[in-house]
Amino acid sequence: MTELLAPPRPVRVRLDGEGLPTHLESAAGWQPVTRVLNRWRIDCDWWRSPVSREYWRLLIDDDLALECYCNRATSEWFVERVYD
Amino acid sequence: MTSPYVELHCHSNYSFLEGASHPEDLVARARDLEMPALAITDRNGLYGAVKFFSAAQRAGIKPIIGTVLTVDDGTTPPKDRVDYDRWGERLLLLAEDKVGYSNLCRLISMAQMPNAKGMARLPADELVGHSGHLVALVADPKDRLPFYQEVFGRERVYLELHDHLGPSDRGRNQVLLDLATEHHAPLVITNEVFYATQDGHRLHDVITAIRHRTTLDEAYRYLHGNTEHALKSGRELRQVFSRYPAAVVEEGMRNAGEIAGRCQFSFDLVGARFPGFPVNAGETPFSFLYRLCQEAVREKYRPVTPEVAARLQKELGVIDKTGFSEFFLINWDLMRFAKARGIPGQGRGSAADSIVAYLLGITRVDPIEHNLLFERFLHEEMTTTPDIDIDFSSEHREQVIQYIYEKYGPERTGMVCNVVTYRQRSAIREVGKALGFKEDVIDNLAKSASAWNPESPQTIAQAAGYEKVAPGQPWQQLFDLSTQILGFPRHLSIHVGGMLVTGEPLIDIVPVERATMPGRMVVQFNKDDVEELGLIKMDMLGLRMLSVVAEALDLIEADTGTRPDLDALDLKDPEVYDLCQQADTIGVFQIESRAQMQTLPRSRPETFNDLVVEVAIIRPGPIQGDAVHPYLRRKQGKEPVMYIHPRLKPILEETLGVVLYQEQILKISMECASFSSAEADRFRRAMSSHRSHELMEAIRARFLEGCLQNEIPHGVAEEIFTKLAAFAEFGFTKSHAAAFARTCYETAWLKLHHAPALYAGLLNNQPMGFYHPHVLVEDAKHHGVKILPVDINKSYVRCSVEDGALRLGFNYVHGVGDKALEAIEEAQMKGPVTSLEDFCRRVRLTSTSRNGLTRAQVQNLILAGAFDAIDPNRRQLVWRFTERAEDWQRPPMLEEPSEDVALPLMSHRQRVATDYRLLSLSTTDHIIHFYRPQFAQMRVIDSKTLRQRIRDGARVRVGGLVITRQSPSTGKNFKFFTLADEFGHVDVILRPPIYLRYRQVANLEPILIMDGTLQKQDGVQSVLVDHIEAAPSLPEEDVFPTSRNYR
Repeated sequence: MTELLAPPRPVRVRLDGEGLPTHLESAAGWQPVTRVLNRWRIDCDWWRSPVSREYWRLLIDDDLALECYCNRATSEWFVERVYD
Repeated sequence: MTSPYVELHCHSNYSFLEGASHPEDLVARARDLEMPALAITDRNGLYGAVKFFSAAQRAGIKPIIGTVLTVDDGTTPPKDRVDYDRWGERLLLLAEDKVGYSNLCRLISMAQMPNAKGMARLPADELVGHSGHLVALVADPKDRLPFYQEVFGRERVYLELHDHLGPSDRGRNQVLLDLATEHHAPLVITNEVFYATQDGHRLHDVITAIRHRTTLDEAYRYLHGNTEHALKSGRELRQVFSRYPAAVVEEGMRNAGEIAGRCQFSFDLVGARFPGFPVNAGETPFSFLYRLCQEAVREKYRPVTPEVAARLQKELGVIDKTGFSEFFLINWDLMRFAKARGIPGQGRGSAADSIVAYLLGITRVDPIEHNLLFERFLHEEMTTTPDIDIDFSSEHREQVIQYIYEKYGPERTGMVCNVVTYRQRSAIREVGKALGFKEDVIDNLAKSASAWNPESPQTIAQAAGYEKVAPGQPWQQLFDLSTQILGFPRHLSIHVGGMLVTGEPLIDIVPVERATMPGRMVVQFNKDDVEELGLIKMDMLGLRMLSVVAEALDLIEADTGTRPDLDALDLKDPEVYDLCQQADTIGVFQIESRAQMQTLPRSRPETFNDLVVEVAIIRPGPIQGDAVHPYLRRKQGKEPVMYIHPRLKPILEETLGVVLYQEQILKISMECASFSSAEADRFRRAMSSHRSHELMEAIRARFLEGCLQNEIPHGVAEEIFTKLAAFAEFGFTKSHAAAFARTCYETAWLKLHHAPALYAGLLNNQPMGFYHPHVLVEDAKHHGVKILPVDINKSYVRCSVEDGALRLGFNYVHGVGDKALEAIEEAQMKGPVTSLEDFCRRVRLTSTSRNGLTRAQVQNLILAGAFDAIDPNRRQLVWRFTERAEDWQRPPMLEEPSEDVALPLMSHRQRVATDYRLLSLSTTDHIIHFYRPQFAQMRVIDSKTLRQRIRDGARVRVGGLVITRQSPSTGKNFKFFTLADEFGHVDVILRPPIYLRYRQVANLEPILIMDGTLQKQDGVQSVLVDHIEAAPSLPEEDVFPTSRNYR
C-alpha cells in the first residue's frame, strides 16, 4: 500500500557532491538515505503548465520507502508518496 | 584508448512523424558533440539516407546506414495504423558494407512490398538468407535472441541498452543484462534518438499527437515522459549510466565505437547505373550515337555550317568523356517508340540546350538558331546525370512508362518517390489541432496563412481576425512549432514522372514499396537522391497541352483531309506575334493567364526570342525580384539599353541588357572571370541554391579575382556580381523557356489558323489551363467560331470539328459518364437515329448508369438539344419520353398510340438557361446578354465600349460574370478579379480595404457590378474598384458556371 500525499509535502534534503540525496529532514531530525531505489525524470505538459521534475525513490534509514521529487526549476524538494 | 562513443540508433524525420529532426540537423549536432560517426536508422526505410549521407560527409562525420525494421512477433497485426505503430518487434540493422547494404534494401523491400503503406512488417524467418554483413541491435528480443544469433552470427547481435531516465528503464535493462549473461551476447549502449537537441521534444510530442490523429492532451499516454531522447555525448551517457555496473557501461560504450568502425558502407552506385543499351557487334554505344547524330545533322541542317559541325563535335566529345552515351541512347529510343506510336512528346528543361538532344528528336528547339548554351546541360566534370525531362501528352504517358518497364524489366525499373512535406497551411492545420485549437480557428488561420509569412504570432492572430486576443502562449507555440515543422516529411507519394532505371537489380540498390497503381513499384529515394547518387532517372511528365495539340491536329485532318506539319513552322508568322501583342491569348500555352495578358501589350513580342523572354519572365520569381519592369521599360524604349561592361553586350543583348536566364550567369562567369564550364556551373548552383554566407563569400572572391585578371575594374565586377546574385534566386533556364515557347507559338498559330480545332482540343482535355470551358467557348465565339449543340447523329463522345464549326461532344452533357458515353456510341453505330423512340430502342434504360443509360441521362440529352434536329420541341420530347420509355424497351407491338400533350417550345432565354444548367456553357448568347437591359438602366458600361471609347482615369461602372478570382502571393493582399460579359472581359483590382469591406458579396455572388476608376496604359486596362454590389437577380432560375480561383 502507498499513501499519496496531496499536495506533496515540502522537505529539506542534503546532497552529496554528485547531487545524490544523502539525508532527509523529518520531525525526528535528519534521516540518512540508505539506498536510491530508482530515479527518473519528468518533463511534460509544456503546452499547458510545464512540469519538470527529478524523481527519486529512496530507502530511508533501512526502514521507510519514499517517493520524492526535486522541482528542476526551483530546486525545491517534495515528498509525494510514502510506501508502507 | 577506447574509441569514442558513436550514436547508432537515431531516427530522423524520415521516420515519418516519429523523428523530430532533419538528418542535416542531427549531423550538425553530432559534429558539435565531436562524434566521429553517426548512424541513421529510420523506421522501415532509407528515405533520408542519401541526404544524411552527404550531410555527414560534408561535416566530416562518418555516416552509417541502417534501419529499424518491424519484425512480425507472431501475433495478429492490428488493422488501425495507430495501434500498428506499437505492434511487433523492432530490429535495428546496420550495413557493414555494400553487401550488407543490399541485404538491408532487400529486407526493407520484403517488409514493405506485401503490406499496405505505413504497415511494413517482415516475418522473422524471411531474415534468413539476407542477413550477411549486417549488425543487429535488439532491445526487446523476447525469446528470439538465440534465433537472431543463429541468423546474423553470434558476434553480430548486440543487446541494446538505452536509459532515458524513465521509471522503468533500469528494470528493463536488467532483463537485458541477465539475457546477455545467459546467451553470451555482447552489449551496446545507444540513446534511441528522436531529435537532435532536448528542445526538439516539443515537436516530437506534437508529431506524436499528429500521428495518433489527436490532441496533445488526448495523446498523453503515448508521449515520452521527458526530453532525454536527444543526441548525447559519451560523457552525458556515462552520467546517465552511472547507476549501472562499470563493466557494463565500459562494454556498451566501447562496442558502440567498435560497431561504427566496422560499418564501412559508402554510396558508390555509379557502376550500377546503366541498364545497358544493346548495339550491333562492332559498335560501341558512343560510336552508335555518333553515327545517329551524323545522319540526323544532315537532315536537320542544310547545309551543315562550320558552327553546327563544331558544336556537335564539342558535345559528342563531352558525352564521350562523361560516359553518358547510353543515357542519350535510352532517351532516343524512348522518343522513337513514342513517335512510332504517334504519341506527342518533347523534351523540356536544360536538355534543349543540347544539339545532340535536338538531333536525336528528344527536343524540338534548334539550339544553334536560338543560341542555347550546352554547358548548362552537361559539362566535362559532371558526375550527376544530366536532366532530360520529357513531356508526353497526358493520356499517353502511361504507355511510355509501360514501355520502359518492359524494355528494362520490372526488376530494374521503379518510380521515383516524392516525399510530401509540410507546407504552411498543412503545418498550421495539424499543429493547431495537436495544440487543441478549435476547428474553426484553425480553418481561419490556415486560410489566411499566406498573410503570415513574416514574423510574429500577433500577425497570425490578426490575420485570422483575432486582433483582440492577447497574443499569449498558445499563439506563440503554434507559431514556433508550425515554423519548425515546415519542410518536415509527412508521407510518401509517387513523383509525377520520374523513373529510376538501373543496371543492377533495383532491390540491391534501394528499398522498394508498393505503389497505389497495381504492379507499380516506388523506390524510397526521391529525385534529388537519385541525382546525388548519379543514377539514371528518366523524367516523363504529362502535359495536357500536348494532348490538345495532338487532338487539334487529328481534328483538322479529319475535317479537311490535311494535317499541318508543326515542325515545319518557321516561327516567324507576323500574325502570331500580332495576336500575342494584342493579348488575344486565351487558350494559348503559357501566356494566357491574366498576368501574362497584362504584360503582353507592353512587352510586345516580335520574334521567337521575345516569346522565350515572355515565358521566362512572367512568373512569381521575376515579378517579386522586380526583373520584369526593367525589361519592359527597355522593350518599350522608355529606358536606354545599357551594359555594365562591354563584355556583357554579346551575352545580354538578347534580353536588352537584363539578366534573365541561368545560361547568362554561366556565360558571364566564363566570359568575365574566365571560369571553366564546370566552375561556371558550380557558380550558378551555389548562387541559386540555399546559399551559405561563407560559400557566397568564397565564390564572390573567386569571381572578382577572375574579373580583375580580365581587366574588369573592381567596382564594375562587384556590380556584376550583385546583379547576378540578385537574379539567381529566381533564375530560369532559357532552354526550358524556349521549349515551352515553341508550344506557345504552335498553339497561337493554331488559334489563328485552325481555331475550331484548338478550342475543341482544349474543351476535350479539361481540366487544364487558366480558364473554365465556358470562357473558352465565349472566346471561340468572339473569334467567329460557330458552336453547334450536341446532336444525336452528329456529335461524337468528344467535341469535334464539323465543316469548320465546333460541335459539342456528349462529354459536355452533365451526368453522362463513361458508361453512358459507351452506350451512346454503340447506339450510333446502328445507323442514323430517326426518332427518340428509335434511339431508346437501341439502348438499355437502367436505374444505374453501370450498363446503359439512365432516364435522367436521356432527359439531359434531350434538354441539351441532342434531338433538336429530329424534333425541336424539347419539352414535348421529355414528356413523351417519360410517358413511353417503358414501352420503348419492349418489342414493338400493336399498341394504342398514346396522345401527345401539346407543350410550347422553350423560349430562347429558357434554352440558354438550360445550356448553362446542363452544359455549364452557352452555345448561343452569353448570360449577361439577358442582364443587359437592367445593366443599361444602372449605367453599367459593357467591356467593348470600355475598351474602345472610355479614357484613362474615368469613373466607370462595370459588371459581369466573375470568371476568375485571384489572390496571388506576389500581390500584397490585392485581389484580382475578371468579369466577363457578352463582348469580352474586364479586369478589376480590389485593394485590401475594399476587398475586406465587400468580401462577402465579392466571393459569393456570381454576377457583380463594380464602380471604380479606369486605368489605361500601354494598351492594358483595368478598373481600380471602390464599390461592389451584386447584380439584381432575374426571374429565371439561372445556374451560373463557377469562377476559377487562384492563389
